[in-house]
Amino acid sequence: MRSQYNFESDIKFLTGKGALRNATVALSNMGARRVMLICDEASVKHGQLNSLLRQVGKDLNITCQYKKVLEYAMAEDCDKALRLYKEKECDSIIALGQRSAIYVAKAVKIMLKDGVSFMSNYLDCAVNNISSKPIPLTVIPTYLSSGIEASNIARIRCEDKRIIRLDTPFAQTNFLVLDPCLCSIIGRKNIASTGLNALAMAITSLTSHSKVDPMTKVYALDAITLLTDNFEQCLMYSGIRKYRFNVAFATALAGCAYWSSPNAFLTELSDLICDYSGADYRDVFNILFAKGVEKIEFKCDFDTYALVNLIGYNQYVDVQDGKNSGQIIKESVKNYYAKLKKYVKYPLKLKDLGIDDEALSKVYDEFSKVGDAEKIEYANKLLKDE
Amino acid sequence: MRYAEFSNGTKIIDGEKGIADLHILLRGLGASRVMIIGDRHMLSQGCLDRVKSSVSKDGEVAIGAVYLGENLQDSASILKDMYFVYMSNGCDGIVVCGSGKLVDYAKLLRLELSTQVKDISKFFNKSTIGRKVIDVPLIAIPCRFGMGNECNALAVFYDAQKKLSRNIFHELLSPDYCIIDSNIMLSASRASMAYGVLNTLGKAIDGFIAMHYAVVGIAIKQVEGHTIGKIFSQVALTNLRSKALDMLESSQEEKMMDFALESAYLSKGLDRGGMGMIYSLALAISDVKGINYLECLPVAIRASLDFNLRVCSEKYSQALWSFVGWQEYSQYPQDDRAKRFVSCVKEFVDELLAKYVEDYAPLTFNDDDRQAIAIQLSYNPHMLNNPRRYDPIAIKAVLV
Repeated sequence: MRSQYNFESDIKFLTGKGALRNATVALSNMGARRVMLICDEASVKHGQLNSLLRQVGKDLNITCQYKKVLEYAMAEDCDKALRLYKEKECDSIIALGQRSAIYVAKAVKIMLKDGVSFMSNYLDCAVNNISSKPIPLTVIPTYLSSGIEASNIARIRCEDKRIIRLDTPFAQTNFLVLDPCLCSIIGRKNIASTGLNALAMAITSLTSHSKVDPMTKVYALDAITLLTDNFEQCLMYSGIRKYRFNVAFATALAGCAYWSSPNAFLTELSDLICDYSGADYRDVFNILFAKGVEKIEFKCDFDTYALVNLIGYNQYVDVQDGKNSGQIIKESVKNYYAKLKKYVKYPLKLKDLGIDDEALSKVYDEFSKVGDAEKIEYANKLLKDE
Repeated sequence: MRYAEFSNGTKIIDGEKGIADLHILLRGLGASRVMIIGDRHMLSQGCLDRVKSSVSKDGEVAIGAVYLGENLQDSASILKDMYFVYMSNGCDGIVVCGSGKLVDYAKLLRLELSTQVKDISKFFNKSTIGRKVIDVPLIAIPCRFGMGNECNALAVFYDAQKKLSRNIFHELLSPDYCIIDSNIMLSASRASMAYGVLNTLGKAIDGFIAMHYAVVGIAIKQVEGHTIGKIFSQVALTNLRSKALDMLESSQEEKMMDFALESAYLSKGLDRGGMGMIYSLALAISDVKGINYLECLPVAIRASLDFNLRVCSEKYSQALWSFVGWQEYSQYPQDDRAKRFVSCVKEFVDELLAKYVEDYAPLTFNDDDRQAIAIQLSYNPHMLNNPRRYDPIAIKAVLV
């Protein structure tokens, strides 16, 4: 198979105070003169859009805004946003908000690079291999992000509830901007979901069976370091912006690590459960991950000894009592989760999210149709005691 | 929450598909007539022929010129020469196949062309901001691993007037693509691989202990903050000793590629942050003694470890975990760990040199050399990243 090329520069991270202002310079260097802004209704409601416009409005020519993205990224939204982009003759895209807004922005970029006008076309055909049309995409995640901002994935829902899942370099994010001014105050449960999700993604990518590049390891390790330094404090003092920013930063990094070599099984199962129940993806993913750690022994496909060396000097990793490396990792994760229980009550079972047996059996049936025997057995283990 | 940027734009491609798809990459980047920069060694190995045939595979990209770099000491005249060849042949893209200074010059040529600033000395000053006027695609194909300049935004320019190597950092210096090809890498000698390992080790140690400074008001102050550079170094340092010895011993393609990739990503991630005392000292010794930068690395690593031991004991102790593994780490008492790290690294350097660099001649310094090195070092801005302040007397004392 021929490799896919998008001929764009690799993702660049702009983080910290003044990141938004610096993003305008970076975008201008990339040749962005007419920018389209795609954001979700939640960001408009919580004032994040206004904050963004206050910071960059003067320096950046935002020619049009598409603000109607709801909880799910719909194919209709993608088509409308694409039409708007073309009408206003834009040359770059900014995505602000949560998962759905980012998916829509990525889908618009894919369609533009691929020369496709309707999202539904991808129900029948795949994305091309090569496109040299540069369309700078800047992603500005709000605090409730799920780490997909740096991924090459767009998951779009059609009106008939069919899902279009695209995984292509055409969806590449060029700038990931994380500014503390967008980290608004949120509840502890949301912080717990976000932080645990980041931790789950980081550990999953480090223990991935597939070969990962050093960048993935760096992002995952950095996310773990940031979380172990800030997560508990963030839960205790959720009003302090520094901690919230660091947890959001960890989420973005963990997402970067996870989506470069995602665990297809966990992702597919979580997506299916969310589609059937409407539950929060992060919570579902966290529960499945925690169960996986508890129930399934770490296989020796990866070098656990090297992994402990890699994680290094961390207060949660206790290496003094002569255990093997697999046990050390497993117990460190369990102890950390147990410690977090002191600060916040996070869901431990899918039933805690209001997912009933009927929905789970549907999920299992649906999964049995697409998954292979090993995956089905694994899914059975995870869903059995629910 | 201090502002930080990381990960430059260079994309790293490994495997054979990189060179095979060179024509696609160049076309996609907008090049139609390229200048290929290489050297006689690459030509004799047949690497340049591979590159040439791949560039002109589908006939859409033409080869404007092939430039073979020789006597790379005089940076200004080489750059002038390259500029003339590029312009007179109507090229609109660059492919550089080589290592070390050759890659630096290709990057500087790109900077000159993109910004339309012909005098490279204007970039010595930090306040000079060169804006991109025209797009000049640049693809780097390194022939030795561990060098790092093929995927970072830094280039060294030898200022013949002041007899000093100048560091130039600019976003436009990072190549668009870096292709790591196993066949080309494997053609390098064992000694050059060992030096590549030392360069990676030096960068990882520099990055691990680096301090960070920021402009606060009108002053430049040391700032605390989370830095991803340390993590990049941690990843590179993890099991480095065993990985490197294993790779050099077995000469297996897969192991060599793994190490090369790790080293390339380390350079990409660290960019400026990874340049510290080891880098600066090796460069200063190289300028003063007039020898290759890589040959100065063993002395620079040893001297830098001794120089910083007093102020870096905690960081060295952490580095020991990654370098030797947690099992060996937990055998040493807390107080001895930093010293142990220093001795482990020194032992590793000695082992590499003894086993793989047959013609290594230890460097000797007289008082004039030491004085000149200390002065050269004071000019290098990367010394600022070092945790111990610049102290010429102490520097001269560790140069043995």
